Amino acid sequence: MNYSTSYIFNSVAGQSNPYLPAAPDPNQTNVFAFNSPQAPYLSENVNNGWKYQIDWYLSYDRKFGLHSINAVGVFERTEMKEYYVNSAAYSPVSTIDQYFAYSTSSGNRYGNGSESVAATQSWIGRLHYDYANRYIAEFSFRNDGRYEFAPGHKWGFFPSGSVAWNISQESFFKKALSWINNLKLRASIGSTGNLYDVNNNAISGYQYQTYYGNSNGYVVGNTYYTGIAPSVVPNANITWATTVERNFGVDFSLLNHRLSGSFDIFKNTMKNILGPRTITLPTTYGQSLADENYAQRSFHGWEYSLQWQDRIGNIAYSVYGNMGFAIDKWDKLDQDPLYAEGGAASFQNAIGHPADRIFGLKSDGLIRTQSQLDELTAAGYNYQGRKPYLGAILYKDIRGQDYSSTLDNTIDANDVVLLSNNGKPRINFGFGFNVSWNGLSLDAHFQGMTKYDRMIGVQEGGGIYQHGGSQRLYYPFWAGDVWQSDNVDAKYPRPVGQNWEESGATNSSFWLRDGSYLRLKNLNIGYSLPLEWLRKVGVSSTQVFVNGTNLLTFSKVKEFMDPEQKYYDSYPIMKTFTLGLNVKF
Amino acid sequence: MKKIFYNNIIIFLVASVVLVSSCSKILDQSNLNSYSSTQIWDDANLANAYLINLYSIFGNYNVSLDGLSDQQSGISFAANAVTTTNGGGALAGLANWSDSYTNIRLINQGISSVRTGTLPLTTQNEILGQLYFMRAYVYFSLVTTYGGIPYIKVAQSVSDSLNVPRNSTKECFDYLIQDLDSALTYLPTHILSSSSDYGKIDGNFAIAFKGKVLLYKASPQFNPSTPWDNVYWADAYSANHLAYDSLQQQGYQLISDYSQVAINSGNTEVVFCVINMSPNKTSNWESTTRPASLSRGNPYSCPTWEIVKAFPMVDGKSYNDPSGKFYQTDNGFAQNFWQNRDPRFGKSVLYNAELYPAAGTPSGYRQYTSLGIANTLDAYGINPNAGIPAASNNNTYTGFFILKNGDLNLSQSQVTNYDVNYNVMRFAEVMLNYAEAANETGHSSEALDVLYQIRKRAGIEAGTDEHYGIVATSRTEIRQAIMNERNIELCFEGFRFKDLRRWRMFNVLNGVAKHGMESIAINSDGSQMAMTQAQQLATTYQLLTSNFQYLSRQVPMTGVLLNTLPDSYYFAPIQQSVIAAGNKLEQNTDWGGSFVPTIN
Repeated sequence: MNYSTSYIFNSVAGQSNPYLPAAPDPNQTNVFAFNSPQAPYLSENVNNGWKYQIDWYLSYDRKFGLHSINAVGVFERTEMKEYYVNSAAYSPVSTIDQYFAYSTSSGNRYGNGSESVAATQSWIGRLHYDYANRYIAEFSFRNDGRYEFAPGHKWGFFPSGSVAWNISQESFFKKALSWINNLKLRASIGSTGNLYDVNNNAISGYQYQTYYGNSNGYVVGNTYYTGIAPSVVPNANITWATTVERNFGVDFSLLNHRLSGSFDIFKNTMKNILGPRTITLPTTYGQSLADENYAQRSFHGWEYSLQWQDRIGNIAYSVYGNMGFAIDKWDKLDQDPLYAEGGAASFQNAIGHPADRIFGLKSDGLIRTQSQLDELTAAGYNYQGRKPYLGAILYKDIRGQDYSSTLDNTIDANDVVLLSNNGKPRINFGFGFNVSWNGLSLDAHFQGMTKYDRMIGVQEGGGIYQHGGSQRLYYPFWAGDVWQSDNVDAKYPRPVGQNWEESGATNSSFWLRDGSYLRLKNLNIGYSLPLEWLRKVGVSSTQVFVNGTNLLTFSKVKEFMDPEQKYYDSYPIMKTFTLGLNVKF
Repeated sequence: MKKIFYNNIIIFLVASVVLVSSCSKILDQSNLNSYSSTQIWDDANLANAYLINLYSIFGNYNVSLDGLSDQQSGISFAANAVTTTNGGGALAGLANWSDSYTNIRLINQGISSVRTGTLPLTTQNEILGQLYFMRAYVYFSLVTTYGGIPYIKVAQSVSDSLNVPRNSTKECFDYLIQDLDSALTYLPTHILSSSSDYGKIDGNFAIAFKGKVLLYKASPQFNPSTPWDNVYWADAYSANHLAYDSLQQQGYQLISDYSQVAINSGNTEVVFCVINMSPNKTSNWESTTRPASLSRGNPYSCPTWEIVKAFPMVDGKSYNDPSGKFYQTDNGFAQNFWQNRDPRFGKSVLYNAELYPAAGTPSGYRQYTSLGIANTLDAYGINPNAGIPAASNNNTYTGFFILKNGDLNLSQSQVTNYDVNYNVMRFAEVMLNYAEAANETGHSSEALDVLYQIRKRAGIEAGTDEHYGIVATSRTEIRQAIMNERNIELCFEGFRFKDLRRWRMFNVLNGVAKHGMESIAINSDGSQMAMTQAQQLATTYQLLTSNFQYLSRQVPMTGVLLNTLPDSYYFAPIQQSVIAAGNKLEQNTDWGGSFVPTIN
């Protein structure tokens, strides 16, 4: 029997000052109309706070004969409070980047602050039983409480159990298959609580209460008054979502532990996910129904890893590889009846399909020739009423008005189709090796993803826009291989200065690319100086190394950008080189 | 050893008791960032804040509204732009269904809760007056957009039967009047502009708005079979007559300078306004109307050649009226459109090479719009001799900019600080509402008198007959004169599209092209001026409006060129998903349903 306690208190670190870009040329405010204050200003946001965590552990360990029992009980409690302050000052006297240099007139100074609290409490128990390291069984539970939920709904009880059979410890096995050093079969079923809603956002607290927050202000007389409005539609029953995880796995190592690895398959179910029940209520009610814990989503997949390590003379080496596959589907989710089974747009039905799917127009390439254009014009082909033009993207007319099957030669939202089920990478993999010889070592790690489709897009949306809102000018892209009267075989549409669907600014198969990639994520070459040299100068070890990341990449997405880059115009992925020296005394 | 062990156990037990006893408490953290809903109707400040939130129903300046009509550029109605799936497209923008019902719920909740609080009775009454008015105001937008709607008067609870049918359009109008009458019993009659309550709804706004509601009820939109001869015109007349008389007695009147109707805050013409006050409450009017080279972004929508033509000449006659002093052919007028016009034209529209003394511009600054001469951000047209590509904004620009209600004291960097009050209703509208109802009920001299007053203030010459250029005598002619006057007097204030809908006159928009006016600098002999010379002269603002030739061009130049507004658009369809969620709602007859949105 053992008892221990821990108490941790820390203050939450302050937040950094984010950098906000200003207009490239402050005199060109008409071109660069940012939604930021007009006058030069300095602002600073600070948050700090405290958090403590108390943990009490009570553990019990006992062996009798071949039986061994281990039991643990934990009580955990956390509480935190955060303080946010932000302030801004306008009209600087001089361009010094400090508050004192800004106008001290009260109209030029702005401040705001808020506080938030959070608290959790958990009871955790685990009982582990092991017979001769052959049969292993474990039962555990968590009883978790959170401040977010109403009294009576704060607590969630999440039990788990697992069994394992270390078959390689059986005497019959040792006799028959002595080249297998280790073989273990595992099975588990477990539940955990989670605090995410259907959009994968953290559940905000106090949704069980009717409360009011600040809203639209309004001027009466000479005074600006703050308004108040209900913040959420309360639901007293909001509580935890539960994830049930089922796993079956094998661990093995053989040939004197030279080959080792593991294999797992899993099926997880997320139940009672919090989400809006939009469609069940007449809109004249005047508010949406409160969110409820009802949605369900399931995940399944597998993963394996393999490793081979050995030595030839004084060369030591190892090679490894791993791969994982996972896919999800919605089992229960309220959606617009339009999308449901039998609805006009049932191709967008979420039930039974993964959450990350790509929808868009189906492209037939570009309108390249006058005769092609004449034919389209004669047929009355149009983009929401806009006439086709040379160099525009030609989209397939899939449906008519209100998703009907009567074609209308009009390209609009009714012609959207499912382009891919793999909006998220379904398979990720990695492999690599390391070799070392006489103090010299070489490590390489490759990483990649596949079964993955990318809709190339910009920060404004899918597809490549011809210009970005008021913030970005034309992308250099449009000076490249684009349709011109003297370049009719161009790869990309004609620049027309418009963000129309046909000029490229929408999700479509024209911009869809296989998102698979393979990259040399990390390469490291090191050399440790021989010990004999070092002792003389009192140094215990010295290693010189060269390290490079993202050195090689193979992907179809590279036509536009790095495969790990989010948008065409977002911050690119860095290639880095490090030269280093480690010295220990 | 043993003792230490016992001590530990004791500490553990004591601590456990302490913890367990506070266990249930620690998770009961209170929400630090909210107001409790139970105190609102006991606290005058919170009750006021509750109302303040609802005042946003009155909106603010919105340059897009007249882009729906013939007054400004913009094609909002491509073929089939309105469907049951999108629930009305641009039409639904005039009354957002779900936002409206969200506000209605808050209003109903307020009406039913005020009396449960401990506020003084007079405060409770003021709150009730405002809430009843707001309910009518929100439902009015819905009824004029969709026809009759479920006129819900209680904040429903989930256990109520929520699946409610639409009230007939006639019932809705009756309820609107009931709500306005309730409001009138509680509201203070007149909140003076000097009052600290200025900006809140008063009885005068309610009485004038009641006139407006009854005018709509009588109008052709709701009475297609008896557009001008239905019984509701009499009610419209008496309500508007009462509003006109009672407001006039209290000192409401047209101010002398038309250009100041909004800029001069608290003037005698304002019946109700949304007060803007920089930096807390500003409007984007300046930044969405001003020429881009002096603003922070492009104007969204610009005056069309059609509205420019519609302004009368200074003698009150149209340019193409042969009896007018300034009669001209279409072509002659196009080269001369800024001369001898109704002064309201120069106060509402900024045209090529007009003086434009915006803050920060050099003295004598003229606003050019000619391609090659104007700043590229302001240029309109395709002149191949300009030496530069066609202007990039030819689809929204017209060669004209909106000047009305602009605040020229704002420098370029300050345009987003625009804080001129937004007139929701001004006395000129009350007068025109009265004139329209008077004309349809046989009181034509009263109608004409209103038109004379409006034109007198505008600065139109009285003429020897003191009729300010109006020759209309018959009921139909006077009706047309009133329609024309509304188009001009209330231009760019968001009235035109709603008026065309009310009069069932979408023929003015359906398939009708809008135009802009390209300007090209010419020599005195009419030949095109060399571009370098024109640019040289323009740098010192020596090129005048008359130094240009004017060519009309259809706007937009590319994309969908014409509006398509079939008669079914007089009432928007209720969105398919709204009907799916509340299956007692019937769709309008023009949209495949059985609900008749009209009265007659």
